[in-house]
Amino acid sequence: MKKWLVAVLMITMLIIAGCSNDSGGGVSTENSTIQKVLKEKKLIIGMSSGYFPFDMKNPDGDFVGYDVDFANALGEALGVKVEYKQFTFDGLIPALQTGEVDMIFAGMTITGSRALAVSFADPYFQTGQAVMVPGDDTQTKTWQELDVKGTKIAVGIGTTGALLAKDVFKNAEIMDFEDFPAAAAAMAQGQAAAVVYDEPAIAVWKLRNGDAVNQLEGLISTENLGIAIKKNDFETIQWVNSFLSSYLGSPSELASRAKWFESSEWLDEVVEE
Amino acid sequence: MYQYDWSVISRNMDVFIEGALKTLEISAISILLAIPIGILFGLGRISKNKIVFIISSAYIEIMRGVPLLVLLIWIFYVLGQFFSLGSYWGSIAGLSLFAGAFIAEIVRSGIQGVPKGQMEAARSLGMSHTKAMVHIILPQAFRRVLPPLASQFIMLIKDSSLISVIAASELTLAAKNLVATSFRSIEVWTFVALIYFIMTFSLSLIIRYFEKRLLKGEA
Repeated sequence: MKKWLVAVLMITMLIIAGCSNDSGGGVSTENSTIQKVLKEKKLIIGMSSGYFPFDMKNPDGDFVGYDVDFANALGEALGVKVEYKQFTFDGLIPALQTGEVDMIFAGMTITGSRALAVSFADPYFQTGQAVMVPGDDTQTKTWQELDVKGTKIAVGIGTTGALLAKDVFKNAEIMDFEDFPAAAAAMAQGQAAAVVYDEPAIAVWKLRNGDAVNQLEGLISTENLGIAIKKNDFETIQWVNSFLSSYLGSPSELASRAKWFESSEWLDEVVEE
Repeated sequence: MYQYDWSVISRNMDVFIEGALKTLEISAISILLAIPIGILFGLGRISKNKIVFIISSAYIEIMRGVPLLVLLIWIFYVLGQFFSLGSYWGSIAGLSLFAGAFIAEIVRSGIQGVPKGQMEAARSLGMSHTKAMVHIILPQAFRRVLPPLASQFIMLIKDSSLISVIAASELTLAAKNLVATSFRSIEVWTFVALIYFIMTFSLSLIIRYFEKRLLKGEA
């Protein structure tokens, strides 16, 4: 019985491995995400909550934020329903690769290495990495002062903040957390001396928590955020870029930007995690 | 279509090996701490003392009733407010407390599995309860307890993958980071599953060998 079971498992694994080895190339519109979305009348967005004010959740469990407004507008332009699927940040690209989501909208920075695995539309936001320290740390002024052996820096696993921190910090130890709130909580308890993350998330956290945290001046890097789409899906990339040209700067986008970035009235309407 | 690139495994072999060693290290320390915890609460479970009995039973039921993931997160974030252990020791604390409860049950059944006649004979020979326990009952229970104890160790190695959530360095976290930078989720995760399997399977083979030898010793 046991041997038979093992044999079945092995054969199943071989079949799965063999099936996906398709090397079809060329610019075809048959695999296009847009076509699939239009046919199924549904757009599945991969999101990772915790990046304020882009991707957050309200008490009812719905996604809200700048990215959500964006994705909803995109769905409206296509005339389809938008469905959101939640992932930890490092699970987003694998989800896109396997087709579990149609696009990633998660405040994701465009990097060369990511662009080898997925394709990005044009940037829709520009930001950079910032450093957050506890409120009672009034001494530290630059991130270099934190690069001491024994100091722990909290980051979000798989984010450009994590990659940057691992690159620039030579002596401090980097701790990977599932998302920004988890990293911030670790810092609040003294498990880490600082958090490196996208500036908007830290700015909002400061708004929310006041004197409990401090944001160090300046950015360690500048980054462009982009929407990730299945690799080489040119029809979809073209369409999204056209949509970006129409949406960015439009009254609804400006209103969305004012709401999430220039005021903090929405802070009470979102949950921390 | 997903393009396979298995070289990510060979290029990062050192990452996998380091992660696997860390996993074994944390699991080993945890099981070594869990054994005295388990013995303590296992004996407490069969104690005639009401207070000891209640405390031991409560501990065992709580540890068996709370998911390990929730326990680890609780230790890190809730306990961490008052008493910060960090990822490494927080993980070991969580794993050993969790395994300790299961070992307590193993110890209890091991002791109760020793034939009643043994204790009666020991007492009739004039031994005190404690002396009988230490010299007659526990050594026999020990033999019975070894195989399930070893299985606990194997389970701990698998459960240790959860500590990646509280930023503890081990195999699963290393895999997550590798996938985040290489985007080769299929190759990396298949290989990591294989590593866990090799570790646990080898251990279970070793256990089976020693189990046979142990049974030979018992008439």
